Amino acid sequence: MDHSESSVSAATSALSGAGIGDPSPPAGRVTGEGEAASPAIDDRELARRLQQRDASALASLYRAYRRRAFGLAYRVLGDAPAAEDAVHAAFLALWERADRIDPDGGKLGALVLTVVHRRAVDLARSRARSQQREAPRSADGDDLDVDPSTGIPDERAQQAFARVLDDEEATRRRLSAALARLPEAQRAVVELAYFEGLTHRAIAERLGLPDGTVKSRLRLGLGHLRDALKTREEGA
Amino acid sequence: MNCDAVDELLAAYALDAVDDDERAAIEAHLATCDRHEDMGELLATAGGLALLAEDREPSLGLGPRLLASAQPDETRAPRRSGRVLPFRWLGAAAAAVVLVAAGFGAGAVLSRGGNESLVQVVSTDGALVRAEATPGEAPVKVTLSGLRRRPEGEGYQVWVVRDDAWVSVGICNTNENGWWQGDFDFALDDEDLLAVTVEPSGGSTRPSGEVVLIASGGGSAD
Ligand SMILES: [Zn+2]
Repeated sequence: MDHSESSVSAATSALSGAGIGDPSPPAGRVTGEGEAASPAIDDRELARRLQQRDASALASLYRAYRRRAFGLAYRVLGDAPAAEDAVHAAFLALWERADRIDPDGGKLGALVLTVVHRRAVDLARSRARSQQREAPRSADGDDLDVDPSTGIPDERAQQAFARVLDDEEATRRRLSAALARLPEAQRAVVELAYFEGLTHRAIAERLGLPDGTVKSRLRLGLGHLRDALKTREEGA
Repeated sequence: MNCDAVDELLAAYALDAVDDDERAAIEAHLATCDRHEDMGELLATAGGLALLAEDREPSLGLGPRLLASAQPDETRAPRRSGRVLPFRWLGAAAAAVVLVAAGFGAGAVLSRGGNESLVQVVSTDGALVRAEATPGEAPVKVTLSGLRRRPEGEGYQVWVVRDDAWVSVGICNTNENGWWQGDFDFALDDEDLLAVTVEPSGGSTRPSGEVVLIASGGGSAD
């Protein structure tokens, strides 16, 4: 239960995936302390190694994106164990179906986040379903009907998403500002959809609105956000 | 689903706010229709929302748990029909113990899968050894990855540290991709700790070369 300071950092570094492209064994006794900053991840190389079923590539991928992935799943699911299940399932799906990764698709991070989001949403919905069916009690995952092959977007989608991550900081700033500027009615449906994992029908039910209204608010809202990102591309 | 219906749902689709049937119908449509040019941008925009979630550190055990459940096999059993529950397989019943060798920066996980097999993974940056067995029964299936192929006359010897003694499991060498997998006629125990050293290709009776991977008892998580 109690971790000493050193065991925590040692285990963390155990999963850090430095050494991409250099398969040499770690130099025995010198690892563990003062790990150099890991080299920038070469996504194409990493994708290739995942496709070769090189487990250390999975460790590298996990190490590089675990915080962001877990942060996203936590935002959707609101509790750590479920969020970890979603992250676990997402990375495992990427591992199992590495053949579907487009090595030229750009940032693997975009792919990771897409799959994590899908997993988190699937999990949120099956949790909601099982709570509807029976008295709420601890869901142990037995009802999670998730096909591990799903959730990896097609190549076109991989490339499109990768573009917005080219400049993460700018994307984050612009999206956040644009979201705040959206009319409340649009912002609410976009957030319920993306961050709470609700379908358009579930949103309609929750807000007491016609389904068509929700769908058009989602269109308008996401359209505004898209335009805000476009402005960036045009204006410098 | 026709073009208009797809357009109507495209934003919801991009935000993962459609149900499974709608998603399948939309994807089937998009696969054959190129009239929905804004699809990529909508997907990208929705995906960008992920950046608004705050980064968070998952628990220490998640990475080892992931590595333990990732099957490195190149040829795997035919895929299941019906459902597979990756989270359940390593659910509450699968106690994951993280072992840390302070001097090596190596982490290991021991976990029991739903099929009662024992899995141990030791990894450092870029290198990994994984062993899977029914406890107390030979063989043990071993995978090495991220370890550069040794030159002629050398190999990687896999050991377990059992009651403070080193017991040889077997010797092998990796391929040009730094990968090896095979069975050793060895009965792995619950308490065994994996290690890998560089040895002459005939193997050694006790470790004599560089220790490239080792798990040793240290802190444990949960
Ligand atoms: Zn169409």
